[in-house]
Amino acid sequence: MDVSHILHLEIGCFRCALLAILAYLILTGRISLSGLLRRGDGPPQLPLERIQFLLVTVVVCSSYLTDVFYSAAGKMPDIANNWLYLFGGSSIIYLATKAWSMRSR
Amino acid sequence: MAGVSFMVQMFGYVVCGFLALLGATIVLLIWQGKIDISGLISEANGSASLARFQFLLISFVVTASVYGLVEMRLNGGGYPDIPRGVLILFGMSAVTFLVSKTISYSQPDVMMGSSQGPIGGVDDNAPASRGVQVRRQSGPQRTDPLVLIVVLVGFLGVAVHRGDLTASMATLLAVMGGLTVWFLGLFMRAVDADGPPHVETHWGGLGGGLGGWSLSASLIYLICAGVVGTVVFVVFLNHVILPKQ
Repeated sequence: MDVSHILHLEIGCFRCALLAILAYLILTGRISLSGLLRRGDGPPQLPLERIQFLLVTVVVCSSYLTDVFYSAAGKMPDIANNWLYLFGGSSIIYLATKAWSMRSR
Repeated sequence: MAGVSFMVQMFGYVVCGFLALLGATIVLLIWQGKIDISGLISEANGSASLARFQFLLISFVVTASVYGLVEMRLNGGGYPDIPRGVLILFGMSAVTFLVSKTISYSQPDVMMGSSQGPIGGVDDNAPASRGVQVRRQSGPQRTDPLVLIVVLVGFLGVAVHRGDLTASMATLLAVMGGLTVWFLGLFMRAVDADGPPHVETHWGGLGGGLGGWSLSASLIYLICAGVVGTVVFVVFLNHVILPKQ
Protein backbone atom coordinates (compact mmCIF):
# COMPACT_ATOMS: atom_id res chain seq x y z
CA MET A 1 0.00 0.00 0.00
CA ASP A 2 1.22 3.47 -0.93
CA VAL A 3 2.36 5.80 1.90
CA SER A 4 0.03 8.59 0.75
CA HIS A 5 -2.95 6.24 0.89
CA ILE A 6 -2.04 5.10 4.40
CA LEU A 7 -1.80 8.76 5.49
CA HIS A 8 -5.12 9.45 3.81
CA LEU A 9 -6.70 6.55 5.71
CA GLU A 10 -5.15 7.62 9.03
CA ILE A 11 -6.34 11.22 8.75
CA GLY A 12 -9.82 10.05 7.77
CA CYS A 13 -9.98 7.71 10.79
CA PHE A 14 -8.67 10.44 13.12
CA ARG A 15 -11.22 12.92 11.82
CA CYS A 16 -14.10 10.44 12.19
CA ALA A 17 -12.98 9.46 15.72
CA LEU A 18 -12.79 13.12 16.80
CA LEU A 19 -16.22 13.82 15.33
CA ALA A 20 -17.70 10.77 17.03
CA ILE A 21 -16.22 11.74 20.41
CA LEU A 22 -17.46 15.32 20.01
CA ALA A 23 -20.97 14.12 19.13
CA TYR A 24 -20.94 11.66 22.04
CA LEU A 25 -19.81 14.32 24.53
CA ILE A 26 -22.47 16.75 23.30
CA LEU A 27 -25.26 14.17 23.35
CA THR A 28 -24.36 12.96 26.85
CA GLY A 29 -24.20 16.53 28.16
CA ARG A 30 -20.48 16.49 29.00
CA ILE A 31 -20.04 19.31 26.50
CA SER A 32 -23.01 21.35 27.48
CA LEU A 33 -25.15 23.23 24.98
CA SER A 34 -27.36 24.36 27.81
CA GLY A 35 -27.77 28.12 27.85
CA LEU A 36 -26.84 28.49 24.19
CA LEU A 37 -30.12 30.27 23.55
CA ARG A 38 -30.43 31.92 26.96
CA ARG A 39 -29.90 35.63 27.29
CA GLY A 40 -27.57 36.27 30.28
CA ASP A 41 -28.96 35.93 33.75
CA GLY A 42 -32.10 37.96 33.26
CA PRO A 43 -35.70 36.77 33.33
CA PRO A 44 -36.56 34.07 30.78
CA GLN A 45 -37.45 35.66 27.42
CA LEU A 46 -37.49 34.43 23.86
CA PRO A 47 -33.96 35.38 22.69
CA LEU A 48 -34.79 36.21 19.07
CA GLU A 49 -31.34 37.62 18.30
CA ARG A 50 -29.70 34.36 19.40
CA ILE A 51 -32.18 32.20 17.50
CA GLN A 52 -31.68 34.17 14.27
CA PHE A 53 -27.88 34.07 14.66
CA LEU A 54 -27.85 30.31 15.19
CA LEU A 55 -30.30 29.84 12.32
CA VAL A 56 -28.22 31.95 9.93
CA THR A 57 -25.01 30.16 10.95
CA VAL A 58 -26.56 26.74 10.35
CA VAL A 59 -28.06 27.82 7.04
CA VAL A 60 -24.80 29.35 5.76
CA CYS A 61 -22.75 26.32 6.86
CA SER A 62 -25.10 23.71 5.40
CA SER A 63 -25.49 25.69 2.18
CA TYR A 64 -21.73 25.94 1.77
CA LEU A 65 -21.21 22.24 2.57
CA THR A 66 -23.78 21.37 -0.11
CA ASP A 67 -21.92 23.60 -2.59
CA VAL A 68 -18.65 21.84 -1.72
CA PHE A 69 -20.30 18.44 -2.10
CA TYR A 70 -21.52 19.28 -5.60
CA SER A 71 -18.45 21.26 -6.65
CA ALA A 72 -16.71 20.04 -9.76
CA ALA A 73 -13.02 19.37 -10.38
CA GLY A 74 -11.92 19.72 -6.76
CA LYS A 75 -12.33 23.49 -6.76
CA MET A 76 -13.43 25.31 -3.62
CA PRO A 77 -16.69 27.15 -4.32
CA ASP A 78 -16.98 30.82 -3.41
CA ILE A 79 -19.67 32.22 -1.13
CA ALA A 80 -22.11 34.65 -2.72
CA ASN A 81 -22.03 38.20 -1.37
CA ASN A 82 -25.67 37.90 -0.27
CA TRP A 83 -24.75 35.15 2.19
CA LEU A 84 -21.91 37.29 3.57
CA TYR A 85 -24.25 40.27 4.03
CA LEU A 86 -26.74 37.99 5.77
CA PHE A 87 -24.11 36.55 8.11
CA GLY A 88 -22.57 39.95 8.83
CA GLY A 89 -25.96 41.52 9.55
CA SER A 90 -26.94 38.65 11.78
CA SER A 91 -23.66 38.91 13.73
CA ILE A 92 -24.12 42.66 14.19
CA ILE A 93 -27.67 42.19 15.49
CA TYR A 94 -26.46 39.51 17.93
CA LEU A 95 -23.48 41.55 19.17
CA ALA A 96 -25.45 44.80 19.45
CA THR A 97 -28.19 43.11 21.49
CA LYS A 98 -25.61 41.44 23.69
CA ALA A 99 -23.74 44.71 24.27
CA TRP A 100 -27.00 46.51 25.02
CA SER A 101 -28.18 43.88 27.51
CA MET A 102 -24.79 43.88 29.29
CA ARG A 103 -24.78 47.67 29.44
CA SER A 104 -28.26 47.89 30.89
CA ARG A 105 -27.34 45.73 33.89
CA MET B 1 19.23 4.34 -6.55
CA ALA B 2 16.89 1.51 -5.63
CA GLY B 3 18.38 1.50 -2.12
CA VAL B 4 17.66 5.22 -1.67
CA SER B 5 14.10 4.77 -2.90
CA PHE B 6 13.62 1.90 -0.45
CA MET B 7 14.96 4.04 2.41
CA VAL B 8 12.62 6.91 1.52
CA GLN B 9 9.68 4.53 1.46
CA MET B 10 10.66 3.03 4.81
CA PHE B 11 10.96 6.54 6.26
CA GLY B 12 7.43 7.25 4.97
CA TYR B 13 6.09 4.15 6.71
CA VAL B 14 7.82 5.15 9.97
CA VAL B 15 6.25 8.63 9.77
CA CYS B 16 2.85 7.03 9.08
CA GLY B 17 3.28 4.79 12.14
CA PHE B 18 4.28 7.74 14.32
CA LEU B 19 1.30 9.81 13.17
CA ALA B 20 -1.07 6.89 13.73
CA LEU B 21 0.24 6.45 17.29
CA LEU B 22 0.00 10.20 17.92
CA GLY B 23 -3.58 10.36 16.63
CA ALA B 24 -4.65 7.28 18.59
CA THR B 25 -3.09 8.70 21.78
CA ILE B 26 -4.88 12.03 21.37
CA VAL B 27 -8.23 10.32 20.76
CA LEU B 28 -7.68 7.98 23.73
CA LEU B 29 -6.73 10.83 26.08
CA ILE B 30 -9.79 12.85 25.03
CA TRP B 31 -11.98 9.78 25.53
CA GLN B 32 -10.52 9.17 29.01
CA GLY B 33 -11.01 12.83 29.92
CA LYS B 34 -7.30 13.48 30.45
CA ILE B 35 -7.50 16.05 27.64
CA ASP B 36 -10.52 17.91 28.90
CA ILE B 37 -12.66 19.49 26.15
CA SER B 38 -15.81 19.80 28.26
CA GLY B 39 -15.38 23.59 28.30
CA LEU B 40 -14.89 23.84 24.53
CA ILE B 41 -17.88 26.10 23.98
CA SER B 42 -18.51 27.24 27.55
CA GLU B 43 -18.27 30.69 29.01
CA ALA B 44 -16.55 31.18 32.36
CA ASN B 45 -19.90 30.87 34.14
CA GLY B 46 -20.47 27.40 32.68
CA SER B 47 -23.23 28.19 30.20
CA ALA B 48 -22.67 27.55 26.49
CA SER B 49 -21.50 30.46 24.34
CA LEU B 50 -23.24 31.02 21.01
CA ALA B 51 -20.23 32.92 19.59
CA ARG B 52 -17.87 30.05 20.41
CA PHE B 53 -20.33 27.55 18.97
CA GLN B 54 -20.64 29.38 15.62
CA PHE B 55 -16.85 29.81 15.43
CA LEU B 56 -16.40 26.07 16.04
CA LEU B 57 -19.06 25.24 13.42
CA ILE B 58 -17.61 27.52 10.76
CA SER B 59 -14.02 26.40 11.47
CA PHE B 60 -15.16 22.82 11.11
CA VAL B 61 -17.01 23.49 7.85
CA VAL B 62 -14.06 25.35 6.27
CA THR B 63 -11.41 22.83 7.37
CA ALA B 64 -13.58 19.87 6.37
CA SER B 65 -14.13 21.45 2.95
CA VAL B 66 -10.41 22.09 2.42
CA TYR B 67 -9.52 18.58 3.56
CA GLY B 68 -12.24 17.03 1.38
CA LEU B 69 -10.97 18.87 -1.68
CA VAL B 70 -7.34 17.99 -0.92
CA GLU B 71 -8.49 14.36 -0.77
CA MET B 72 -10.13 14.71 -4.20
CA ARG B 73 -6.90 16.12 -5.62
CA LEU B 74 -4.73 13.45 -3.99
CA ASN B 75 -3.25 12.38 -7.27
CA GLY B 76 -3.52 15.79 -8.96
CA GLY B 77 -1.36 17.46 -6.31
CA GLY B 78 -1.55 20.84 -4.66
CA TYR B 79 -3.89 22.58 -2.29
CA PRO B 80 -7.10 24.17 -3.54
CA ASP B 81 -7.21 27.97 -3.66
CA ILE B 82 -9.37 29.38 -0.87
CA PRO B 83 -11.81 31.91 -2.36
CA ARG B 84 -12.11 35.43 -1.02
CA GLY B 85 -15.68 34.90 0.23
CA VAL B 86 -14.64 31.99 2.45
CA LEU B 87 -11.83 34.02 3.98
CA ILE B 88 -14.24 36.90 4.66
CA LEU B 89 -16.74 34.52 6.28
CA PHE B 90 -14.01 32.99 8.44
CA GLY B 91 -12.79 36.45 9.42
CA MET B 92 -16.29 37.65 10.31
CA SER B 93 -16.81 34.56 12.43
CA ALA B 94 -13.54 35.13 14.31
CA VAL B 95 -14.28 38.83 14.83
CA THR B 96 -17.76 38.00 16.14
CA PHE B 97 -16.21 35.56 18.61
CA LEU B 98 -13.59 38.09 19.78
CA VAL B 99 -16.07 40.97 20.14
CA SER B 100 -18.50 38.71 21.98
CA LYS B 101 -15.74 37.63 24.34
CA THR B 102 -14.74 41.26 24.91
CA ILE B 103 -18.34 42.23 25.70
CA SER B 104 -18.70 39.28 28.06
CA TYR B 105 -15.51 40.00 29.97
CA SER B 106 -16.12 43.73 30.10
CA GLN B 107 -18.30 42.95 33.11
CA PRO B 108 -16.60 40.10 35.00
CA ASP B 109 -19.22 40.26 37.77
CA VAL B 110 -21.91 39.35 35.27
CA MET B 111 -19.79 36.61 33.68
CA MET B 112 -19.11 35.02 37.04
CA GLY B 113 -22.75 35.52 38.03
CA SER B 114 -24.36 33.23 40.53
CA SER B 115 -27.83 32.92 39.04
CA GLN B 116 -26.86 29.65 37.36
CA GLY B 117 -27.68 27.95 40.60
CA PRO B 118 -25.31 25.96 42.74
CA ILE B 119 -22.19 25.41 40.69
CA GLY B 120 -19.71 22.90 41.91
CA GLY B 121 -19.61 24.21 45.46
CA VAL B 122 -17.95 27.52 44.58
CA ASP B 123 -16.91 29.53 47.58
CA ASP B 124 -17.86 33.20 47.24
CA ASN B 125 -14.94 34.13 49.46
CA ALA B 126 -12.39 32.64 47.09
CA PRO B 127 -12.48 34.85 44.02
CA ALA B 128 -9.06 33.73 42.76
CA SER B 129 -10.16 30.16 42.28
CA ARG B 130 -13.63 31.04 41.14
CA GLY B 131 -12.93 31.42 37.45
CA VAL B 132 -11.50 27.93 37.31
CA GLN B 133 -14.05 26.28 39.51
CA VAL B 134 -17.20 27.71 37.98
CA ARG B 135 -16.63 25.64 34.85
CA ARG B 136 -17.05 22.45 36.80
CA GLN B 137 -20.75 21.80 37.00
CA SER B 138 -22.24 19.53 39.63
CA GLY B 139 -23.56 17.23 36.92
CA PRO B 140 -24.02 17.05 33.14
CA GLN B 141 -26.24 19.76 31.71
CA ARG B 142 -28.58 18.48 29.04
CA THR B 143 -28.65 20.01 25.59
CA ASP B 144 -31.37 22.60 25.22
CA PRO B 145 -34.03 21.07 22.87
CA LEU B 146 -34.65 24.55 21.41
CA VAL B 147 -31.10 24.51 19.98
CA LEU B 148 -31.77 21.26 18.14
CA ILE B 149 -35.13 22.53 16.86
CA VAL B 150 -33.51 25.72 15.50
CA VAL B 151 -30.78 23.64 13.81
CA LEU B 152 -33.44 21.38 12.27
CA VAL B 153 -35.38 24.38 10.96
CA GLY B 154 -32.14 25.75 9.48
CA PHE B 155 -31.44 22.52 7.56
CA LEU B 156 -35.03 22.38 6.30
CA GLY B 157 -34.77 26.03 5.19
CA VAL B 158 -31.72 25.16 3.08
CA ALA B 159 -33.54 22.16 1.58
CA VAL B 160 -36.51 24.36 0.60
CA HIS B 161 -34.18 27.03 -0.79
CA ARG B 162 -32.49 24.42 -3.00
CA GLY B 163 -35.78 22.94 -4.14
CA ASP B 164 -35.15 19.54 -2.51
CA LEU B 165 -38.32 19.94 -0.43
CA THR B 166 -41.62 21.74 -0.90
CA ALA B 167 -42.51 24.36 1.70
CA SER B 168 -45.50 22.36 2.96
CA MET B 169 -43.42 19.20 3.36
CA ALA B 170 -40.69 21.17 5.17
CA THR B 171 -43.30 22.64 7.53
CA LEU B 172 -44.69 19.19 8.27
CA LEU B 173 -41.20 17.81 8.90
CA ALA B 174 -40.30 20.83 11.08
CA VAL B 175 -43.39 20.36 13.26
CA MET B 176 -43.02 16.59 13.58
CA GLY B 177 -39.24 16.76 14.00
CA GLY B 178 -39.64 19.53 16.58
CA LEU B 179 -42.12 17.37 18.49
CA THR B 180 -39.65 14.45 18.43
CA VAL B 181 -36.86 16.62 19.79
CA TRP B 182 -39.19 18.08 22.42
CA PHE B 183 -40.27 14.62 23.60
CA LEU B 184 -36.63 13.53 23.72
CA GLY B 185 -35.85 16.59 25.86
CA LEU B 186 -38.69 15.69 28.22
CA PHE B 187 -37.40 12.10 28.28
CA MET B 188 -33.91 13.29 29.30
CA ARG B 189 -35.33 15.47 32.06
CA ALA B 190 -37.54 12.64 33.31
CA VAL B 191 -34.53 10.29 33.38
CA ASP B 192 -32.61 12.86 35.43
CA ALA B 193 -35.50 13.25 37.86
CA ASP B 194 -36.91 9.76 38.05
CA GLY B 195 -34.22 7.37 36.81
CA PRO B 196 -34.29 5.16 33.71
CA PRO B 197 -37.59 4.08 32.10
CA HIS B 198 -39.41 1.42 34.07
CA VAL B 199 -42.76 -0.34 34.43
CA GLU B 200 -44.26 -0.92 37.87
CA THR B 201 -46.94 -3.37 38.88
CA HIS B 202 -49.10 -2.77 41.93
CA TRP B 203 -51.84 -4.93 43.30
CA GLY B 204 -54.18 -2.31 44.69
CA GLY B 205 -56.60 -2.93 47.56
CA LEU B 206 -59.00 -5.72 48.35
CA GLY B 207 -59.85 -7.74 45.29
CA GLY B 208 -57.16 -5.98 43.32
CA GLY B 209 -59.67 -3.54 41.84
CA LEU B 210 -57.08 -0.78 41.75
CA GLY B 211 -54.22 -3.00 40.63
CA GLY B 212 -52.48 -2.81 37.29
CA TRP B 213 -49.46 -1.49 35.47
CA SER B 214 -47.93 1.89 35.75
CA LEU B 215 -45.46 3.35 33.22
CA SER B 216 -42.81 5.83 34.31
CA ALA B 217 -42.98 9.32 32.78
CA SER B 218 -39.66 8.78 30.98
CA LEU B 219 -41.01 5.63 29.29
CA ILE B 220 -44.12 7.48 28.10
CA TYR B 221 -41.99 10.31 26.65
CA LEU B 222 -39.69 7.77 25.00
CA ILE B 223 -42.66 6.00 23.38
CA CYS B 224 -44.07 9.33 22.14
CA ALA B 225 -40.66 10.33 20.72
CA GLY B 226 -40.34 6.93 19.05
CA VAL B 227 -43.79 7.10 17.43
CA VAL B 228 -43.43 10.68 16.15
CA GLY B 229 -39.81 10.05 15.10
CA THR B 230 -40.85 6.96 13.12
CA VAL B 231 -43.53 8.98 11.32
CA VAL B 232 -40.93 11.66 10.44
CA PHE B 233 -38.53 8.99 9.17
CA VAL B 234 -41.18 7.30 7.01
CA VAL B 235 -42.36 10.62 5.54
CA PHE B 236 -38.75 11.66 4.86
CA LEU B 237 -37.97 8.31 3.25
CA ASN B 238 -41.07 8.24 1.03
CA HIS B 239 -41.11 11.88 -0.06
CA VAL B 240 -37.44 12.89 -0.15
CA ILE B 241 -35.10 9.91 -0.49
CA LEU B 242 -37.07 7.35 -2.53
CA PRO B 243 -38.49 9.68 -5.24
CA LYS B 244 -34.91 10.66 -6.20
CA GLN B 245 -33.87 7.05 -6.80
